[in-house]
Amino acid sequence: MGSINPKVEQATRDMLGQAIRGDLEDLAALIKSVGGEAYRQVLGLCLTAAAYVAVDVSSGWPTEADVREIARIIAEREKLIDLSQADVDAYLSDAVLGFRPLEEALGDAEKAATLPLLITGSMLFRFRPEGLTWWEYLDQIWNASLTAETLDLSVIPALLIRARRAKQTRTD
Amino acid sequence: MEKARFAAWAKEMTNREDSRAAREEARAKREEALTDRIAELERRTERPSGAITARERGGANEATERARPEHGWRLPADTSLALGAASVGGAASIAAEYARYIPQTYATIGATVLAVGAAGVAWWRERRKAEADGEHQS
Repeated sequence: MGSINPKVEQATRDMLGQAIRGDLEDLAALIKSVGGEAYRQVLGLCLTAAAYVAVDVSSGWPTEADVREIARIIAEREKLIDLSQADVDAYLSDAVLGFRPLEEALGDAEKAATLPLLITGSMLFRFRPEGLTWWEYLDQIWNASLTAETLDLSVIPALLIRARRAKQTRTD
Repeated sequence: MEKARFAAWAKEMTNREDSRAAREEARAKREEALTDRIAELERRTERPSGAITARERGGANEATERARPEHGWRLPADTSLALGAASVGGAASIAAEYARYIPQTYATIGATVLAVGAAGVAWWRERRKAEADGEHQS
């Protein structure tokens, strides 16, 4: 069964907050203080959260066009930090949704070690559901991910039917 | 003699059959490749889900929203998510599949890159401020 270490989760949340506020100096100091093993797990959680957001906003497994659109919005709207559409696209399509190693997806270790926090923070802030703060959205992501770990994949068709039924009820 | 002619004829028929099968196999492969290519092109040119732009947040209160301090992780009170809540703090992370490709050296690299980036931003802001002050005085 999968789990989340509360200490690593807290560090992830603090770092995402600093990325969202553009506090790069504090973010650098925090990364240095948590150390290599914890930061490895922080980046793993960032990839998990980014995957959830991408699937959530696309209402299904994102197509290439969906990924391009997400990357365009993130790159165009992000003012506090400089993110390129190509980097966001590569992060999402290759690392987050393609499950390839970060360095292979982003081209170098510098980007691989920093962009997951910056892009994931931006995605959480930009695509949070209406009425939720980004950190409440993060709560939802962790809780849903942990619940998903306990379920058999045979529930997926039943969940799809339930989702479609709920959507139909809302539009009636 | 008759037997030998029949054997030669049978061999030729078998060879023809083999080459026809090979041609058909090659044609099937070409058709499959073409179908894949068309599907790939359709996938590349299709439009993104309209739900993405509808989910975009930000706007007038963006700076205030960004500045708000985040709270800690709240576990769900909802019983439908109670199973998930029970697995907090265990050994195996839900992010383990991703984390296995991430080296520990990324902490040093990340901290250094961001510290340099932060210094660059601070220098740029100071310069902009000095320029603005200079223009204001003149």
